Amino acid sequence: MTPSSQPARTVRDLRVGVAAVLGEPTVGLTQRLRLAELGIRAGETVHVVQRSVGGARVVSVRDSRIALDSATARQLPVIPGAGEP
Amino acid sequence: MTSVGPSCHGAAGNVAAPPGTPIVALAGAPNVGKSTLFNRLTGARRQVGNWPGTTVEVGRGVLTEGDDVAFELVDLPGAYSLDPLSPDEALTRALLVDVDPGERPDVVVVVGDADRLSRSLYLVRQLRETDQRMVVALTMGDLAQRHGLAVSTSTLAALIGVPVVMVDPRHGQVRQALMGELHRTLADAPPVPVPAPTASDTFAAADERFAWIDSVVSASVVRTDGMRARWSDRIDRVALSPVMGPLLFLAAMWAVFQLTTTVAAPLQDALDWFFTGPVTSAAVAVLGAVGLDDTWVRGLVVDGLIAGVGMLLTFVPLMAIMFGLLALLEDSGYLARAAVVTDRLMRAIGLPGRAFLPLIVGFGCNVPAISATRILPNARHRILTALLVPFTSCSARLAVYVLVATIFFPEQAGTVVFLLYVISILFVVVIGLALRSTLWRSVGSEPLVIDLPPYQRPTLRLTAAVTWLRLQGFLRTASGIIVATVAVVWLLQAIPVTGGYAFGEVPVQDSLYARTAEVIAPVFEPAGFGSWETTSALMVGFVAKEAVISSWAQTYSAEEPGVDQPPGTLGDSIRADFVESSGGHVNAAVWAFLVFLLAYTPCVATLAAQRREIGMRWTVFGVAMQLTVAWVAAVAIFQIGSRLW
Repeated sequence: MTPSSQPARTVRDLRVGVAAVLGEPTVGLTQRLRLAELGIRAGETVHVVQRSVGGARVVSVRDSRIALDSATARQLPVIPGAGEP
Repeated sequence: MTSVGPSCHGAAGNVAAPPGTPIVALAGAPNVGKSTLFNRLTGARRQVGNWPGTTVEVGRGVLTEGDDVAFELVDLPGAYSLDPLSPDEALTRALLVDVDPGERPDVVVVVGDADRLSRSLYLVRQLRETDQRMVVALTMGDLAQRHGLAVSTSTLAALIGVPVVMVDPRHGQVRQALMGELHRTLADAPPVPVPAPTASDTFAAADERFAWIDSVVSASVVRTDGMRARWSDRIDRVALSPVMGPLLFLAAMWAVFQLTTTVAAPLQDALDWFFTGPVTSAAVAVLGAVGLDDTWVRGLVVDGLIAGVGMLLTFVPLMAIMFGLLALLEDSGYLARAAVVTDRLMRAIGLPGRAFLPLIVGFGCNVPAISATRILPNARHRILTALLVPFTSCSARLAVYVLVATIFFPEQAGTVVFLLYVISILFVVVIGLALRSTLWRSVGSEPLVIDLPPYQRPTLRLTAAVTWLRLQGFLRTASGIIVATVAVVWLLQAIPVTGGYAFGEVPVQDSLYARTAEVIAPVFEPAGFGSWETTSALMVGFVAKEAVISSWAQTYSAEEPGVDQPPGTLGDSIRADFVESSGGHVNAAVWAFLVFLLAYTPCVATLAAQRREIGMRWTVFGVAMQLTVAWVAAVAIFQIGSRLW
């Protein structure tokens, strides 16, 4: 786990309630397109609203709540400093 | 017209729409209320079936004006875009884009979510790059309003170039709003396509589309208060919590399990009493009045038809309660959360989280559990789950476990029954892993990405409509196979082969049924229970597990023991039979028998439900797999156990 003093690198590292700007997802091509269709794409601001079972995360993006498993959340980099408090 | 590929025209179903009726396809992302709109438009009168050559379910119905059929409706599988990731989405793309222009629907109604508008517009944009006639129907307007969003349908229509209507299929009338736009759209020339993205790279092209969507949304949606009331988030703090989430899920599943089995049980008993009591008595009286009381006709009517139809109808309360509860969970938005909570556990056997629900329900009764696989949006997940459900030990098997355990292990009967449930879970896990590593290697690798719908208060009308729709489908499909199988079993039991009895008046041991059991019995000799008496009980168990005990009672000409009563002479007869067939290794043979009973085909009603949900080919595959697994496990247990006991 990322120490709290260090900036988050991925959505998985974000604390609940913290907003961040997404970088380019590192998932496969088809998955990347599906995430983009759901609004999860580079430049978009997301914030984690809930941690769930097995490291899953619920993120808020635009007007939606998207649940992501732990592995997917790890493949969503956030731009250091952008959007984080 | 016959086409090689899928087509919206004349390919499936027998809906009463005259030739030439315009076809309207409903498309849209999952969870936007598409099927609710479809049900509202068609009055929940629809044909549901797999699309030819696929396992993808497509609903069809008609939209009437007065007594005339105005449009034929096709409810396409949910799709976020025309870039498919699943067989369901591939079919939607095939029917909207890949078929010849003459085979496409006349109008596509893209159902969108006003509360999350940008999500719905990607599919709209892709279809706008064609000359497809289209109407956009926005649902969830009430939620959008509650969340401080005002959507201007006129601005939106002007920007995207096709009509936009606001509909509320959960509460209000939708026909009037939509019907006018459908007629106008059909009368107008096809829309001029929006230029396709200039970028050749898939993601650059997607970015162009998203930029278009952003501009459309920002111009047509106004935030009236800037803050969104998110009580859904507050509920999710519990429902999705790492600790409370699983506990809440287990509580919900327990409630479903309890309500399905305990509430339905007295209703089932009452129906069973009704058919075996008053209905049978009335039939016997009528047959007596016309002089057929002592003939084979009585057997056919009482033991064949009334027993078959009665058995089918005893499932109705069970199915109605199950379908109603599922509809409530689905409509409220909780099922999507359940999928998140159980995802990690189920992924181990190649299934998504929400497959947990049908498997849990299977421990009550396999029939509604098979139907519950419908909550899985992916066809391959549905098939895999429907193949695993029969390995969950239903309550009908419990009665046989208790009887056999009481006869052979009176001091440890409870432990034996508990171990059988543990073995049932092991079967589900091991067979799930085996199927995943052979037939479905790619299943289970999909990541969890779920768009969580806001919670909603379920509507009684919608719940009742969905329940009735699913119940109708079950009765329509299951009735034939159940009645036919019960009638065949009766026929085999009615045909005498020894003893000079008349047709229909033969004791079971002198019937063709017993002869058939004698032919099959050697198959079970390596498992230690190769007697015709045990084999015939298992044959009847193929129809319904409850019938195993009555078959034994009939075969041994003994009284069937009541609930919580000692097995008496029936127990002595069964024990003597196992002693003989096992060569003295009784315990090993009994365990082999119990495990075979657990793993082989649960009942004919389950087969009927499987045939409906996953088709005949997979149902036959499932039966072959269950029999193989059951036989191999039984033989292994006896062969190893007989060396220990």
